[in-house]
Amino acid sequence: MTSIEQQRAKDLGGLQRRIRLVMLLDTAGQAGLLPIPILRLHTLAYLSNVLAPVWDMPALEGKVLKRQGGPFYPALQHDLDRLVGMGVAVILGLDHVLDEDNRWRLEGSYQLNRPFADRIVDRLSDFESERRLATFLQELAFAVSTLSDDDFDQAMTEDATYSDPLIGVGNVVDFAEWQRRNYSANAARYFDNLLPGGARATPGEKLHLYVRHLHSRVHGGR
Amino acid sequence: MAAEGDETNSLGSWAGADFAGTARANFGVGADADLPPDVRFLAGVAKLIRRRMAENGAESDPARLAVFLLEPNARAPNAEAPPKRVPMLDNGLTSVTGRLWFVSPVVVSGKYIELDEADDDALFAIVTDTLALGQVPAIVFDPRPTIPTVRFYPKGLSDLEKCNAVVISGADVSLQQIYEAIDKVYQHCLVTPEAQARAGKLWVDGSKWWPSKQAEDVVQLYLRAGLTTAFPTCTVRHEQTAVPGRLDLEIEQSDPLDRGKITRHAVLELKVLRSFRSSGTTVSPTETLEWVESGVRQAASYRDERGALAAALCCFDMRNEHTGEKCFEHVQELANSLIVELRHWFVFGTSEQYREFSTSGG
Repeated sequence: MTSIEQQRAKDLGGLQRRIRLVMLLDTAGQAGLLPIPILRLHTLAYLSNVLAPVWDMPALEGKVLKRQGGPFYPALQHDLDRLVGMGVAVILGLDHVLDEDNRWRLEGSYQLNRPFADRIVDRLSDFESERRLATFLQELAFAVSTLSDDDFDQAMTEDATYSDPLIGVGNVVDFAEWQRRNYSANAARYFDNLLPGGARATPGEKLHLYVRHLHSRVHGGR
Repeated sequence: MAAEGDETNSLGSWAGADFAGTARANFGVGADADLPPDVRFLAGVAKLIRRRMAENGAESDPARLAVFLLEPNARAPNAEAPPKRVPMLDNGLTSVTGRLWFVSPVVVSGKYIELDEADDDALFAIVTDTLALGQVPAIVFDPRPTIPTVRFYPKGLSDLEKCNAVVISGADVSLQQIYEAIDKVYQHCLVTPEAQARAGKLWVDGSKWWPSKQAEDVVQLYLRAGLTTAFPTCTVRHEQTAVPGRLDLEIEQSDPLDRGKITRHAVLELKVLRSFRSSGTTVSPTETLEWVESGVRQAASYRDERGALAAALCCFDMRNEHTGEKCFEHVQELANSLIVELRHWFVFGTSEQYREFSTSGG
């Protein structure tokens, strides 16, 4: 790949992430989750990657560094800050906190700046692939809206993939990059054969059931 | 119980988890993801109210209105009483009356503010005037009459004339009621191309009687939305895999206290009858007769396999000749013996055809 092609691929990746971010914030808003704190937004982004196969879609990012405080995508955060700079998103309750690595990072909650963002969301809805992605992200946001703030913050301690005891903090959780070890999507699909009366679960039901089971585990269920 | 397998199916640390318990407790949530938001909102609120009314202790809930708004981002009339969030609203454990609810279309979680106004008009004014949310789809649950009422305002509380009563009693869903619901869908969405939404057209060229290749899917989607609206406490499933094949629609209802306990009211086999394919090639009358007969047998098989209470073959006739129920003559005896009901709706290729038929005594 030439340097020009590499640059194009990088630009395309950044554009896809920003589109995903706008959609995540839009769908979170329709689920009543806004303004959404930084780390919860990263958790939602992680879930949108790890559960994408349930909707028969590829993960945008197939791996993430395992941190004590939950998933955090530096590139996504960079894109998010760019969206704020462009006026597409706004940050509320801005503050600084010392993270687990003893580094200062921004804290705050995000939401879309509707007058600017609506035009982007409307344009995206013209594309079949983006409509499909939006439907998935929307249902995921609806499912996640059943978690209380505390449960949301605790969710990654029980997520089937992120909490894999074989992967320690500081290592990479790889579920769709070099490996195919996606316990979360497998668990969601596992519900397919378990509905009462022999019904087959729809993709939407699988997302909701996964999050309900996650909730149950956060509260000690197994 | 889940078991560990190879990495492609492994459940990791979730192996051995009680997945079945979760599936049973939350059966049906998210099954309607492809339906319009207002239909999901109606079904979600109806199921929630039915569930709440069945809970022990619900009889001591305040005898005041509950107002649900399809607006997930809550607004409060005054800053001193911010909205309170209920993350698992759909479990039916939270009293809903005497409160103004802000919910998303799935009604699995919500935020509320207390409604202190005893006067209904003042309460509605909070929504329309104070909060300026009079255009937002709303559902009002009134527990005060002997038989509590639920009213759906699809255009919001600013348009009180546009109001539909909602049945939440969970009474039997008969085939007759199902046909009435299909009649409404037919009249509003199917009868002529003008009635069909741009994204859901049944015809490639109605003037030539060329149906779309996706006609069955389009009919199915319209019916799912219409049947969910008519029976909001039921779940209308489609394309369920059964031993005899894939059934088209089934209408099932969960027990309000035990979602895993299901009554399957009916299975519906949908068939589109054509004179032409989407490309214009003809479909022979023999093919149509065989198509109808296969529908009768499928409906009976699916009903028996799924344990449903009733079965019907619903034909949407897109042929160029209106012959009424004649398409069923050759299967009437078979249908009687298999206890499958037969119904027929004629779909016009153009509104001119419809007018001509209507004015000629059809």
